[in-house]
Amino acid sequence: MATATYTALATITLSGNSSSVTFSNIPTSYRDLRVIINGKGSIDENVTYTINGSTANFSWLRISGNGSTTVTDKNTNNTIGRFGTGDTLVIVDFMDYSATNKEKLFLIRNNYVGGDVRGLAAKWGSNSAISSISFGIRLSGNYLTGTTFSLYGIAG
Amino acid sequence: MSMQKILHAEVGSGGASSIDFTSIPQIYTDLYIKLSARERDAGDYVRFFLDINGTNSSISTLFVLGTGSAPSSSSGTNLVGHGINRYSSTAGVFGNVDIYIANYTKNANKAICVEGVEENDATAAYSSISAALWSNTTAISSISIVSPGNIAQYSSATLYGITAGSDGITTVS
Amino acid sequence: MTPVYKLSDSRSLTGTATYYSSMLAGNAVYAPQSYYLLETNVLPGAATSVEFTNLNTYASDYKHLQIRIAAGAGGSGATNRLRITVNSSDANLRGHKVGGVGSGSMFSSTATPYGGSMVISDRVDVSGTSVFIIDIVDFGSTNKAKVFKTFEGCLDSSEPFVAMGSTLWNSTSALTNILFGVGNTAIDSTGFTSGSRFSLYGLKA
Repeated sequence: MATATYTALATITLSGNSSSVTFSNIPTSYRDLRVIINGKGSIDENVTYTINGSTANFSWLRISGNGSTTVTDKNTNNTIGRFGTGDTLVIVDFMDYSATNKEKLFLIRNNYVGGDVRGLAAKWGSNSAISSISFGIRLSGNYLTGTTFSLYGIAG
Repeated sequence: MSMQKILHAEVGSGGASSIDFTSIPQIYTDLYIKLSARERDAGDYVRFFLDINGTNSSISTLFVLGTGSAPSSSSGTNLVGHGINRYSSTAGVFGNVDIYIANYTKNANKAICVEGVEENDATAAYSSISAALWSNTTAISSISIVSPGNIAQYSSATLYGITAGSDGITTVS
Repeated sequence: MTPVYKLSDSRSLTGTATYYSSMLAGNAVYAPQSYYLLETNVLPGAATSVEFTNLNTYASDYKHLQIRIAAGAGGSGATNRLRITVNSSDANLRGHKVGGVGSGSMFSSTATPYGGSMVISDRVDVSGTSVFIIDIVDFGSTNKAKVFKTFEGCLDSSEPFVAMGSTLWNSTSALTNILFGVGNTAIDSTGFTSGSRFSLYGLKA
């Protein structure tokens, strides 16, 4: 039987600048998560990911273009994607986030017209179900007032 | 559940100059469009535009483009992405495009994410991931999808509204 | 106007009751949803292939389909290609892709079927998980060919991969089934690992 899904779990619009935003107590009753982040940062820097309080065991690779050149590169850290000082939109799909028998892969579309457009694949190398996700900005950047973070659960 | 269809449009006989969504309710958080379209007229323009609130100005775009043989990156004004099948592409093939517009009612510029693919039974096919920005703080009440080559019969587009909210369990701070 | 008793709130016609002028009063607004989970398959054991069938039966209720996959490949080879057949055949298939492997230059390429199936990804991780989101727009149309759009990622340490791809099924016939398998030159016994997950979603219009 078909099940309506794509459930809003939590959302916040920043009323002041913030160094990070954390989703906690994420229920394990969904299969995938989607996060939508839209706004501006105090500096043009990477987004930092912290999952279940851990900044370890991350890896990522990207394809990107800045309007003139294309790049593909990779790394093993939690500074993934980019948040600009201009309007930025980040869409993150965490796949099988509640599974306890596989690592956690996520796909990211990172859109910053003032910088570049990126498609990324990333991994948190843990079999633990994801219960919290925190987004920061590298080098002590802040998300500016008005930036929104929304979390959705997708059944599967 | 947070995704609801707002409007659906099918292009009828003779084609159309655009696919239009008007009187968009202001009750959602984000907008999401699924587009399946093809150029009606010769020209092979490849790219498409969005008219927002009746104007195609104030849109800037960055994209990564694949052509089937070489990737590139470029930028533009007013154009939004690729994925409306070219007139000269394989007959009966219509592109596959997703357009996501965040916070469309907010008193801020509107960031847009586009993934668009054209398919073709040949080497050449244009696909892109695009970052676009409508530099206008007005709420979006209408969107038109426009191709310089006009839009062929059987093209279609579905507009969805996505509503952010809380399940009462998950917390955010 | 004659008042309407809401018995579910009042519990009794003789006790305290709230009067409304409409049976709709006090109820949540009906908001029809558009994104539905149709099928999901989490492999209880290794499997050679996974197939979604009778997709045409969804066409009356849904306009678009989405398939979400988080899967690992069996075998020991570092490169295991994700392959598909459509309506039990590799006929009329073609693909394109733009992506990168994290070093060197990005690529843009095209592909045609071989070995009886179509390669839609070069990487299903043998030591972990690869993920794919596949969108099929207007899948039920009998006036159009069917085009799949794929966003995929693999973080295999030796052969990582991220790409946006597309697959053309150049047929206006009804789409009935899609089969996924793994193999470098053809779908073979490499298969998918236990716990691999394949979910089908429908979007209304």
